[in-house]
Amino acid sequence: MKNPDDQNDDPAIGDMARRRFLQGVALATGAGALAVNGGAWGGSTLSDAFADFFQQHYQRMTEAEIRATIERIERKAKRRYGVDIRVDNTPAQEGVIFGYAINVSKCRGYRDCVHACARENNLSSDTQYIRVIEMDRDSTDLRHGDHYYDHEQVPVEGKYYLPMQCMQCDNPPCVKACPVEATWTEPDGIVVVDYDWCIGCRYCMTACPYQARHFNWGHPDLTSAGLNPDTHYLGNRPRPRGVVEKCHFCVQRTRKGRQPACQEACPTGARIFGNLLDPDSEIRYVLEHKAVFRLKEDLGTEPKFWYFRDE
Amino acid sequence: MTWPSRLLALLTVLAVAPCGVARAVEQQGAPPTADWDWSGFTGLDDTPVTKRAGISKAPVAAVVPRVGETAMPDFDAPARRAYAVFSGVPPFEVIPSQRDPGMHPCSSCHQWVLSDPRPRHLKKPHDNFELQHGLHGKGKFWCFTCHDLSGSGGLKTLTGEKLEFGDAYLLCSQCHVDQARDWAYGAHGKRAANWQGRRQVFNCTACHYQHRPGIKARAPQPGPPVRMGLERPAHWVAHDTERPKVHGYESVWQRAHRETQAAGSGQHTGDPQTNPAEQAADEKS
Amino acid sequence: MSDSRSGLFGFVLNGLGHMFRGGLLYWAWLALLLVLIVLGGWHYYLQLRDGLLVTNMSNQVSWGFYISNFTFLVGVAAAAVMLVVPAYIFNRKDIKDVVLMGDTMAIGAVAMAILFVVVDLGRPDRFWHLIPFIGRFNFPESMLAWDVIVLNGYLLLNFGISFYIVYNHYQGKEPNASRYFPWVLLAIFWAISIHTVTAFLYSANSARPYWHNALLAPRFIASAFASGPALMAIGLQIIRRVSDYPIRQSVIDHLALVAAIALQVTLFFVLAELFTDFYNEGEHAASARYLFFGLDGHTALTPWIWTAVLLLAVALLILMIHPLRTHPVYMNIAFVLTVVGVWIEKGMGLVIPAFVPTPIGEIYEYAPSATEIMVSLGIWAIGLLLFTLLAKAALPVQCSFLREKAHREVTHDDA
Repeated sequence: MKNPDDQNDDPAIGDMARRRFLQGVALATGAGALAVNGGAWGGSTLSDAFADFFQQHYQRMTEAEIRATIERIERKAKRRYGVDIRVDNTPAQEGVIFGYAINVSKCRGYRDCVHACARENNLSSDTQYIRVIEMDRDSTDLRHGDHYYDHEQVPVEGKYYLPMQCMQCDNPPCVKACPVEATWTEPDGIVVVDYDWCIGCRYCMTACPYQARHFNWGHPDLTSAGLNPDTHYLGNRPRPRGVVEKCHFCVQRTRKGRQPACQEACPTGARIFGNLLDPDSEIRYVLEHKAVFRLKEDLGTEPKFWYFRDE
Repeated sequence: MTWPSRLLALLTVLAVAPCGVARAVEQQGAPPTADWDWSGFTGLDDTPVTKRAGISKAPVAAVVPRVGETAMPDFDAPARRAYAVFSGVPPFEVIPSQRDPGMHPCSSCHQWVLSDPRPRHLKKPHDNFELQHGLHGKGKFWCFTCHDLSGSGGLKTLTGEKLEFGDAYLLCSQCHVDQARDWAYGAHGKRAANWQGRRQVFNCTACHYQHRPGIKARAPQPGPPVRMGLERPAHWVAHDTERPKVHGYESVWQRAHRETQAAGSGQHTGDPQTNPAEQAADEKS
Repeated sequence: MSDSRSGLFGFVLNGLGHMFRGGLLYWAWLALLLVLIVLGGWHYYLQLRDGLLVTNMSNQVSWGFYISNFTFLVGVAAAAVMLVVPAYIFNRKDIKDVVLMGDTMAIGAVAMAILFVVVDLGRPDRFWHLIPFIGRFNFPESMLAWDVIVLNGYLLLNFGISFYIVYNHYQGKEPNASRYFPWVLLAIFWAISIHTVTAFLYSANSARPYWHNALLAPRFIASAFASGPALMAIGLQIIRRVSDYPIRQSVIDHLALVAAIALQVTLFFVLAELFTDFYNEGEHAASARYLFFGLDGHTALTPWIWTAVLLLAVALLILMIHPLRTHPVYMNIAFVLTVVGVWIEKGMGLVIPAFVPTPIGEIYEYAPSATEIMVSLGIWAIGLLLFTLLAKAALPVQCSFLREKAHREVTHDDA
């Protein structure tokens, strides 16, 4: 684990301050948004529409093209939502491959992670990246699980709770399926989507064994007030209609050293995230000292997402 | 409790019990815990510990706990032995508990009034407080197992060494060796804010109220939404008991569960607070 | 025939002329198709405006009626090979006379299949991303990329071969077999491949146990060779009725026999799969159980599949009994039942259950929305229009060529 002495380098603190500031800006401009947001296409200009149409694949763009694209994305968000978003392009860190582990003995099914994720990642109200499944204590068969449990109190006797999200497979069937290479694995192991390249065929959704991919059937119903302005190109920037999106381990946070929103929100400490290549990391400790298991390992997808129980 | 009052409480703790770790956090200006969302935190389990399952296990002969080994509580061993679990751990800092010290105004009387050191069930004027931790009720656990009888009610180990409130984790780790080890290595508890850089972890008491450490059941947040423009099917709102069994058959567990429930006639009412399996889990966590 | 009339331009002009010449019935048919196309187009416009929200698809059932129709039509397109093989490989003269109609039907079916994929896309404006070199084509990794290649290739092949043959006939020449025969061989291989690739598109998904089995591609081909010839036989009989094109009954009988055999094989495959699913019922069988018996009280597809089973059983019965199979009325009943039965079984019955339950055990049912049905009707109308116009343009050429040929043969025999 790196332990930089310089306190100003602390990614969490610096990030937070900036985020506060941007949220302030967002609120201030929120009122103006209503006036600007009249046009059917968010009031986009002709040149932007052309540039949108001919926009290249993220991996094929030059630095300058990416910068221009980011500016255009920020402009579009300003027009549509009246919010000054910041689209970040931080690349993967060297020597980092992210892994996740969930302690199913600790998860109590509160769904705090689900909603923290939705807020952080600018999800449409009809999309959730995380699904917490209420399982019978005797079974790991997902078909016995209940997705819609709505008790007065959780946990419930005889049940345990299994949160699922994108497993960031090392051998992802979704990436293989995509006919236009709009989704790929980044060097830090995160499977990302270029929302501006996806053609919306949804073959990846068919290929995913974890139901981790979500389609924007309509335009995401984001509100100016609820928008998180701190975004990443491959992460939580506002998505267009008709494309697929998925959990990206909060790439906008984790590439700067912060925790994913779901982990930060978990009130029981059931979620453990870190660098698989760091022998001192918490995730490595879990993998080496706990009886871990993965879901649907028999499919050969090599998920980078583990589950374990307290002995 | 509102967010500012929590911060205030935190600062009070820092003022009352200044320890090395606390100072380190204070120097940063804004504690990283400020980003911690407490909105979902509704309190702790208040099931009396004596009514819980799994309490009957009798203490066995003292064992020196080592890394990778589970040990029963060793009440007579010097506290420092338990600290062995923290050697070789990647460096970390402990964030002090944010709990309001005003919750426990013991010292406001006992700084003048001499404490009765005899273990007993508390009567007036203490009847507003019940210890629901450890082997209380079996004569094994008592205020002065952890608190300093002589001073201002500060912490002490089982062998009488004094501890700051911020070092509560050292106190806990005397018994909860497995959890302490997992906590120190990051498999238990919570790390704050980041995965990289300074490792700051919450103290045990941030999540577990020390006098009643089980975590309380509470309402879940709303379930999954349905796609815009589509109807929520009826079965989405049905409770698990009303939901039909998976393609017509009852699993062996479900059958066993149903039959014992019928035989036990309401011993397990389905109330999560009297669920033995879960209480056992609580004891462990 | 003058030289200017025998050129390419004259050929096209001649074709266009035939397309827009016809009786009241012909014009009524075209008008009906146009009305359906306009209606479908309007609903597609609504879908473009509001997004795929107007469909009943969801994150749980992410493919629906469009892809169901696509699957069925790929089968129909592939079945043209059932005319091509006997015509060119076994040199059956009676079939060679009508093989062009099989190709034309394949063109219509592939065009519809491609359109069904296009209307299913969330971002049809980004269609250019699929064009190799200009876009970014994930070949050979993605089975969908394979499908794009085989479908477009098949369309081109069929169009090219048909065009070459009709153009030669138009010029009064016998087409040069050494020129087109290699392409016919390729087309035969290609016809099998479009359906195999489409089956692989599904069976490649280990996430979907309902599809993930080796029998899927053979089952696809078997049911395609039942529904395709049945549809073709219906089409040929209609052509025979509305035009003076000489279609011999032996061709229809041949198609009926093919359908009969293919139906039996299909049934065998389905039974083999049901046995494997249900003898020791496990995870793999959940979708099949949902389809045939309903799962946890969800039975939306059960009436559909039992209807299909009933239709196919009756059709099989008729086609298996020789006097019924050769009976003009019963035979056609069997053809219609086969087409509808396979359309249900191969469409809704194959695509939707793979999504119910989802890989993580959720059950969310699906039935097509009005928009989906209207857009699909529009696409069917486009396909039928394409087939009608192409057939209308090619038929007179074929007729006159066949007459001249017959005449030449007669005079040759006399000499």
